Amino acid sequence: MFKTSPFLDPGTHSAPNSLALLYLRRDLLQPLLLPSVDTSSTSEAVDPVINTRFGSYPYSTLVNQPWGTQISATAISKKPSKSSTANKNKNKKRKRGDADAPNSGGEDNRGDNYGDDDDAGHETVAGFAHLLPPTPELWTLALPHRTQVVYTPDYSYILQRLRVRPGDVIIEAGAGSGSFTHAAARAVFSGYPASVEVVQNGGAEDDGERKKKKRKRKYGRVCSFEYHSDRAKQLSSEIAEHGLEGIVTVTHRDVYSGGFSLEPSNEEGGDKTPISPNANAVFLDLPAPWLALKHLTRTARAHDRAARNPRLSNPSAPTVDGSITIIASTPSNSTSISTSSDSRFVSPLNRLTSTHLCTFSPCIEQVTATVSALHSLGWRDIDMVEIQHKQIEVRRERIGGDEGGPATVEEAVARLKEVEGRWKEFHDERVAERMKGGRGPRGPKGKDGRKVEVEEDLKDENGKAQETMNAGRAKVSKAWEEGRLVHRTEPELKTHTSYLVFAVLPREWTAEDEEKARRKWNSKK
Amino acid sequence: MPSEWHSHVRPDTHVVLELSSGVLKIVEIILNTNISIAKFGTFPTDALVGRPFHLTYEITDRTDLDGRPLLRIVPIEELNSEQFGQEEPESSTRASRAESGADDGDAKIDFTGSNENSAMKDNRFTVDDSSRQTLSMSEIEELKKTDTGSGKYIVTKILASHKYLDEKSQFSLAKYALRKVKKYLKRFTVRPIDVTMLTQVIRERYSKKIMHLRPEHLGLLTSMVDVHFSEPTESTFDHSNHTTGPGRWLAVDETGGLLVAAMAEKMGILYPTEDDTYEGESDNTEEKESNDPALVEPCSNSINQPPAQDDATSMASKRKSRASLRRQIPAMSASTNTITLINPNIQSKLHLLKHFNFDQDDPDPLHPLYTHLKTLSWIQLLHTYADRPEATPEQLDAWTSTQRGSYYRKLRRWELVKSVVDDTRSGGFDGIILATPMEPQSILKHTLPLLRGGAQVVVYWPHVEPLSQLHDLFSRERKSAFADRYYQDPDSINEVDFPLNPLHVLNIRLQVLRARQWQVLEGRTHPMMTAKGGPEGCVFAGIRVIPSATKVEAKGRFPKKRKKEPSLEEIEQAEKRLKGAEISYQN
Repeated sequence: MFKTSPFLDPGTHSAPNSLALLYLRRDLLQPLLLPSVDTSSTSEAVDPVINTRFGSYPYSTLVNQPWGTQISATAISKKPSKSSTANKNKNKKRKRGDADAPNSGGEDNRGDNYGDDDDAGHETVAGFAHLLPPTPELWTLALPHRTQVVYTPDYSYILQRLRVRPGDVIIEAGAGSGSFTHAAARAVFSGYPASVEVVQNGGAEDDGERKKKKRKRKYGRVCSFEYHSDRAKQLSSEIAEHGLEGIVTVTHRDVYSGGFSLEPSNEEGGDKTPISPNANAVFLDLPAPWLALKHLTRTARAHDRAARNPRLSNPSAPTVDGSITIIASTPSNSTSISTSSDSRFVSPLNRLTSTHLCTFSPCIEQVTATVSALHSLGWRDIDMVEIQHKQIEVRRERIGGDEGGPATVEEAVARLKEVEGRWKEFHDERVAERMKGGRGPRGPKGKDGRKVEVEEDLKDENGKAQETMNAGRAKVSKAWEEGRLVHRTEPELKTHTSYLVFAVLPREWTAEDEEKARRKWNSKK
Repeated sequence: MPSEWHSHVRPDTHVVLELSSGVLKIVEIILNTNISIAKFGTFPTDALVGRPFHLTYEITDRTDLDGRPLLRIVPIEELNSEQFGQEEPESSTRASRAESGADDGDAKIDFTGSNENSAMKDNRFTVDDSSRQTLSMSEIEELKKTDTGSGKYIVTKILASHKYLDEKSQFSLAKYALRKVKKYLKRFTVRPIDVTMLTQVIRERYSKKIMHLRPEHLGLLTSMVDVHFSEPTESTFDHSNHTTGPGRWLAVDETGGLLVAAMAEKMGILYPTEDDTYEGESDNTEEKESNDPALVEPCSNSINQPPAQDDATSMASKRKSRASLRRQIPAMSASTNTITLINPNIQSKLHLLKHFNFDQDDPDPLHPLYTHLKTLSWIQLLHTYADRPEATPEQLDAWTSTQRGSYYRKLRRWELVKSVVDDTRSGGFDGIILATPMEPQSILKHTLPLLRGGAQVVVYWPHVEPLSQLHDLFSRERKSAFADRYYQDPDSINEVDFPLNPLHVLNIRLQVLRARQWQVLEGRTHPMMTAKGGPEGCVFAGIRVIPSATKVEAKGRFPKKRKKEPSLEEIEQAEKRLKGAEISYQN
C-alpha cells in the first residue's frame, strides 16, 4: 500500500511526515513538511520552530491540528543558538526554504532564512496563520518557481477539454515546476496501484497471466517528462514527498529525440523493450511541440515517415515563418537517436481510444508551426483558444469620493447653504463691529489678521459640516456597510499566458476493422 | 473505466453527431433502428455501432437492400485539406478546378485555388453582387433534389458556376468553398457524449437552463472545489470519531444535473461501469500484434458483444432485473466518493444525467451514481423527516400482502432518507459547490457548518453582483468588526450585520474567465470575429477555516458555552459532531 497523498485524502488533521501549507496572507503560503518525529515526546528544547514574517510557529503547534485551524504565533524570546541548532537538525525534513525568500535557498543559509523579523534578535511578533491541507490550486500558489507556471484557469480548462478522467493516462512533457503535474495527478487518480502492478508491463508474460491482469483495475497515471535534469530530480522528490509516486512517473528525457516510452523496469532481466504509457491524453508545454509530435503516432510507419520530415524532426530547419530558433539537443544527436529507435518504436498512445492533445505555447509562431505539424500528422478537430481570466476585487467606495465630498446635489446644497449662512453671519458681525467704531476683539491686527481669522472660521465651517455628516453616519456606525459596493478587475492582470492548441487523433480504423464491425452489427436484413 | 466507455460507439448509449454545418445533435444508439437527420436522410444506426469515435461519415448515393444510403468514412487527410488547404506537395492529387467541374460527384473540391491563382491577389476588382453566381435559387434547389449523395456535386457545380471565381483572392476562394461545403455537404462526425460536449450542445439553444455555464466554468469550478476520485484508505479510520469516508462533496444544482455530471465525471462515477461479461472474453486476440502492450489492459472489443435480441422483451426483462437488483443494492449507500445534493424541491431535477444512462426515476442499480449520488431536500436536512412507519407484529399479521408490501416499502424509504440525512448532518464534507438562482448566503448559512476545516467553498453565478455581495460579507472591515464584538460579547452579534461568520471563509477569490477561440490558418491567424455573448459567468471560491478560540493578538474573554438556537437544532448538532470541536457562533 502506498502512503496516501495529502493532496488526495488529507484526512481531518495535519499529520506528521506530511505536507501542510501555512496560509500567512493572501498569495503568501508556506509549504511545510511536518516532521515525522513525535514532537510531544521529545523535550521542548528541540521543538523546531518555523519563523515567518507573521510570527513563529513551533512544529508542535502545527501537527495533529484540525485542518483549517487558525494558529496563533507563539511568542518566543530569541535564543539564537538553540533555535538555529534545532533548525539544522530538522531541516532535512523540510525540503525548501521559505516563501518569503525563494531565491535565497541554499545549503549554507538555510538555518536563518525562515523569517525576516528574527535577525534583529527581538521577540518574535505575534500573529496568526491558518493551517491548510494542500490542493493543486494552493500548491500552484505556493510551489517554488523553477519555470513559468501553468496556472489554475489554464490547467483546469486543459484537463476539461482533454477529457482527463479517473483511470486515464496522461503524458506531460515539460513538467517544469510541477503545477500541471499535481492537477493532472488529481484528475487521473483512480486508486493507488499496488507496487507489484507498477512493473506489470515489464516482462514477458504468458497468456494465463495476461488474462488475470485483464480483470485488474486500470489505474490512472501521469507520465511526466522533463529535459532539465535538476528540475526532473526536484520534481520527483516532490512527488515522493507528496505521496504521489504511485501515480506520477517522472522521466528525465529530451522528448524531441527520445520520445515518450517509459523506461523498462530494472528489476526484470531480459526484456528491455520500451514500455508504452498507453496514454489517451497528451499535454505538451515545450518550446517546440512540433518536434515532439512525430513520437505521438500510432504506428511505426507513421513515425518513420514523420521522422524523415525535416520540419518535424530537425530543430534547425526553418519553421513556417523561419524565424524561431529552437532550444533542443543538437540536430545530429536527435537524428541519430530517432533513426536508431525506429526499429523498436512503440506507440505511446492507447490504441483503443482517441487521443486528446493540448499544446501550451506563448507565441503565435509556435502555434502556426504546431498546427501545421498536427495537420500533416493526421490529427483532427484542431482548435486554438486562449483563456482570458480575470480576478475581481470587491470593495466599498464612498459616494462623493474619498475626500469627503457631498454624496448628492441636495447634500452639496445643504452644505453650501450652511457655509453661506455662516459667511453672512460672520460678515454681518464684522459690519456691526465696524459700525460700532471698534476694531473688533482682535484689535489692531490689520488686514492680515482678519484674513487669518476668516480662514480659521472657514475651517471650522468645514469641520462642522464634516461633523454633521459624521453624526449622521454614526447612527449607522457600521464601517463595513459604508459606501457603495463595487467590483473591478485586480490591479495586475495576466493578459496573456499561452495559446492552447487542441487536437484529436482517432484510433486506427482500417477497412478490415470496418468490415469486421459491419459483419458484426449489420446482421439483420 | 471511462476510457473504454469512450473508445467506441456502444448500443443503448447517447452520442453526439456534429453535422457539417456545425449543428450538434444528440442521438440514442439503439440497434436495428434508423437515425434520420433533416436534409440528410435516414441511415441505419447499426452502421455506427462498434466503430470508434471521432470518425466523419458521408452519406453516399449508394444504398443498401432497404434503400437506405450507405455511409463512407471520410479520411482525415481529406477533412484537413478542406479546412487548412493542401500542404504536402507529394500528396496533391487534387484535380484542377476545370476538371472537377466536369467531373462526377466524387470529385475532389479545390479549396486553395488552382496553382495559377496562387499569386497574390487582392479584392480591388471584386464586384459585390449576387448576380455573379449564375445558378439561380431554383436551380440549386433542383440540384439538391437530384443529388442524393454527399452533396459534393452541388458544391462543385456552384463553384464552377461562379462567373468570376478566378478574380477571388486565394483566401477568399478558400473561404467561399468552405462555406459551401458546410452548407451542402452531407457529412457528420460521431463524438462521444461527455460533460464538455453536453455543455456545448445545450449552450446552443438552452443556455439559460444551465445558468449559462460554459466548459471553462465547469473546469474551473471542479478544480476549485478540489473534487476528485476517493477511496477509503487506512487513514480514514485513524480518527475513531470520523466515521465517514473521504471524498464527500455537497452540491446544490439547478442546472438540470450538469453540475452534478461535471463533478461525477471528475470522481469517476458518471459513466456506467463495464458489465462483467464485457471484460475477459477476447476471442480476437489474433488480430492484435503480439507483444502489444495494450494487451495488459482490461480492454475488450465491443465487437464481441452479441447484439440484443428482441428490443421489447429485452427492455422489459431489463426493467425487471433492475427492480430486483434495486432491492439487493441499497441506493445512496456509498460512504466515500459521494455527492450529496440538496434540493429546494421534493425531487431533484437531474434530467441531463439520462445522457449518461442514469434515469433518476428508474435508476440502474449498477450505475455508480445509484449508490454515490445522495439527494435530500432542505426540509429534510434542517427540520424533520417523516416519522418512522410503525406497525405491531399483530397488525402485520392482520394485513393483506399488499398492505404489508406498502408498509415495507415505506419503511425502506424512511430508512433511506434517515441514512442520507444522518450522513449529511454528520458534516465533515470536503467541499460545497453551488449553481442555483437561490441566495447563496442563505445556503451557506446552513451548509458552512457541515464542512470540515480546509474544505472548499465554491459558488457559481451567471453575474458578478450576487457574488460581490457574498464577498462583501467576508470583507476585512466586517471581519474585524465581527472579531471585536465576538470575542468581547458574543451576544452582540446579530444576523443582520453578520449573516455569516466572516471568520469562517478564507482566501476568497472572484474570477471570470472566457475561452477565446482563434482561427489558425496559414497567413490568416486571428481571433474569431464573433462569439456568443450573454452572462459572463463568475466563480466565487474560498476555503472554510476554523477561527481561533481566543482572540488573536488581544486579551479577550471567549465563550465556553454554545448558544443554542432552537430552529437550527439539527445544524447545531451536526456542528457539534464536526471534528475539531470548533467554536460556534450566535447567528
